Formats: sequence, C-alpha cells, structure tokens
Amino acid sequence: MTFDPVLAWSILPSLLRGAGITLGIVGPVLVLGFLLALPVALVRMSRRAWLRWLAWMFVLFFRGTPTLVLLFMIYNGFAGMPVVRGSVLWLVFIDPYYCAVIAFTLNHAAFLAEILRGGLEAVPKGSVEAARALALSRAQLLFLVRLPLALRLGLSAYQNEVILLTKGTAAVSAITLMDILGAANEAVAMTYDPLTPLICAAAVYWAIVHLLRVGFTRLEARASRHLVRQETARSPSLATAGSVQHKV
Amino acid sequence: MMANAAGLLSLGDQGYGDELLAGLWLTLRVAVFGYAISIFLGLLVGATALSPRRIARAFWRVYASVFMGVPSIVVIFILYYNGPFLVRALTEPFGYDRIDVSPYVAGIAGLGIVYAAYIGEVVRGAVLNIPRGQFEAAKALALPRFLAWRKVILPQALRLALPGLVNVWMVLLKDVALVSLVGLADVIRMADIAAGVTKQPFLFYTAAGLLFILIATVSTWIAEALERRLQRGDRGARGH
Repeated sequence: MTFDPVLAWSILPSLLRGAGITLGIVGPVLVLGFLLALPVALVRMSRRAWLRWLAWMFVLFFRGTPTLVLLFMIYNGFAGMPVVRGSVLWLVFIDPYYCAVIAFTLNHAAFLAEILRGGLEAVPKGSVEAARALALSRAQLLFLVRLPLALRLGLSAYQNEVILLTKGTAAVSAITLMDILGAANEAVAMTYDPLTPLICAAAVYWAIVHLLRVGFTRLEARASRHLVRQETARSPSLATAGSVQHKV
Repeated sequence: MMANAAGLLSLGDQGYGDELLAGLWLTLRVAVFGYAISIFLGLLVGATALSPRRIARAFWRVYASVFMGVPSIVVIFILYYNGPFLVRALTEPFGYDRIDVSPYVAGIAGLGIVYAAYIGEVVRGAVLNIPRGQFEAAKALALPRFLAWRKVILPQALRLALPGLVNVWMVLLKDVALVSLVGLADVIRMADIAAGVTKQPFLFYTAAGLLFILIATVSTWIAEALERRLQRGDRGARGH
C-alpha cells in the first residue's frame, strides 16, 4: 500500500478522460438546472396556494432524495416501463449519460430554486418600487432588477451548490459511466493497486473544485465591487455586512 | 397496480417492506455514528482553526481544503480498500493481523472524516460571531480556560451553530446512500435487490427516496424543537 508515481502517470490520461465526462455532466446540468429552477422559484412565490404547494413538492422530493436514488430511478426505473419502451423516450433512458444529466438537473434545480427564491425575497422593496415607478414591465422588472440583485445575494450559496454538485457526480459510476471515480475504480481492478488510482482521482476532483472556488471568488469580487468602493469611502459597515453573509 | 404495490411493500414474507426498513435502520446507524464522529473531529478542527498558533491554522487550512474538495465517496473507497492494510499496520504489534474493514466501518469513518471539515467551519463561524465581551467577561470572572469554554462560549456557540449543524446532517444523510457502492446493505441495496427480483425498479427506488425524505422531515422537526429550546434563554435579552 504505497503510492506508485509510475502508475499514477500512466493512468492520468484515463482519469482526464473521466474528468471530461464529469465536466460533460456538470456543464449541461448548470444550464438546464438554471432554466428549470427559475420557473420553480417563481411558482414557489405564486399568489395561488396550490401552485406554491406544487413547487414545494418538487423541491422537497428532488432536494431530499439522494442523487444515487434518482439515478437508479431514472436509469433502471424508466427504461423498464412498458410505456417508455415503446416510444422514442427509450433511446434517452437507455443512455446512462442522458439519465445522469436528467437526474442531476432535477436535483440541482431543486436546490437552485430555493437559492433563487431566497435571493428574490431579499431584494429590497425600494428597488422594486423604484423600478415600478420607472414603469418597467413585469418581465423587465424581473430580468433587469430583481434577478441580477437576487443572483448577487445568492452567489455564495450558489458556489456551495455547484461544488456539491460537482463532487456529487461521483455517483454516476454506479450507472456504468466512466467518470473520474469510474476510471479510478477500473484502474484499481486492473492493477490491484488499491491506493494510487484513488489518490489520483481525489487530486483531480480537488483540482476541479479548487478552480471553481477561485473562479467564484473572482466573480464575487466583481459582483460586489460597488461595496468595496463604499468601504474605501469610509463606510465599511455595508461591505463587511455583505462579506460576513457570504462566508461559511 | 396500487394493490400490487402495497403487496410488494408490505412487511412480512410476501413483501419487501421489512427488508427496506432493515436497510433503513443500517442507513440511520451509519448516518448517526458518522455524524457523531464528525462532530467530535469537527470540534478539534474548529479548535485548530481558531488557534493562535500558525501551525495549527495551517493544518486546518489543508484539512478543510482537502476534505471539502474531494467527494466523500472517494474517501470512503480509499478507506475501504486500504483500511485492512492500515489496521494491520496498527494492530500487528499486538498480535492481530486479520482484521477486515467492513463497508459499515469504512462508511462511518469516511463520512466522519469528511464532514468534520464542514463541522469545523460551522464551529469556527459560530465562535467568531460570539461578542468579544463574553470572552472578556469569562476572563474577568477568573474562570479557568476549560470552564470558560464549557460554561460560557460553547453553549452560546451552539445556538449560533445549530442551523449549520442541521445543514451538515442533511447533506451527510444523503451521502450515506453512496456507501451502498462499497457494498453496505443499506436501504438502497435492499431496494436494488427487491427491484431485481420483482422487476419493479421504479416502485422500490421511489420508496427508498421517500424514506430518505421522511428522515429529513423528522430531522427538521427535531431541529426546530431544539432551536426553540436553545432560544429560551434569549427571549427578551435582545438589544445588547
């Protein structure tokens, strides 16, 4: 049980291919997840109680169910249904990649919907009233005023969720996808080295997460540059209030 | 269809309800023990984070970065495959050399180690948000350091830390599902077996998912009750 640098070097290409699959899942999930989360968040704040309840059920189910269960439900469950078998959908559910994207999109959208809702509800009333006073349409109000503010407020929660999502994709090796963990486990089985491939996989995951953190730190600095300026203008309370909320 | 589902999920020889519940019990045990270890280690990690010693803070930074950057299932796989070697190295001098690490132990240890990093972060945030005056007051009363922490700082930190602690529990709970990948006979494994035999995968995986949501919901109730209890000293004492 020692780390074998030669083996590490030789399995690096397959791990990087695995990283390609991991990122190939995360990328589409981020886009699709956002597209799904926005309507869910808006319905969560609807005036109609039954609509709110419906969105809450969506959030409750897809946030509370482990992604491994969602993966099995979609990959093993749907493909086996007679209704699905007879239709074009079968081609979707027979492919583990599409199943992984669907499962993680549902999970990510449920988390993101709550982050967006939190952000949208925290948008100061005055900003909304000011936008109304300028006679912005409802769509303009949402996309030009409320959403940008909400995104900034939810940025650190979003960072945490994206990192959890990225690490969570390690579950897809259970449905035969050769992601980072899948490639590492294959190397373990072929070389009987129980340590090296997994340590390498851990390093690749760590590198991806680290890059995400660096990227988000930059984004956060950019999104809150007005607060930094206020700080230099002898009003540190606002800036620190913001940064305290962002940490943890 | 409905009657059929009820039959398949029933308790007893005909249905798989009792097997699912047995798996759920194992899932819960791994979650609770893993969480207990993560709290214990997390307090130590939090202490290193708050330490005035530079070396302790450096250790904390590395620990937090590594275990927040690597998926818990990778850590669990590493412990599961390498645990026997590790354990043997530790126990050989005492004459034991045949000790296997079960998925159960690897799961608990892995989750405990990984989530200690998150608990450490929660502890650190909570202690940093306690007003300085509290530390000074404890000092003014000449409380020994251990008593100051036990009687003054930690009880207040707990109140601040509770939401974070609950959050970590929720994430950890769902990660127990992954321990089935190293062969733990948990609720997912049981659903797997039942799905294979009955050819009803959708039914059984949905049932497993709903059981997780049930635990999460009950956890939320308990957390809310705890929060109310911890807040009771805070009523009317606002405004300092």
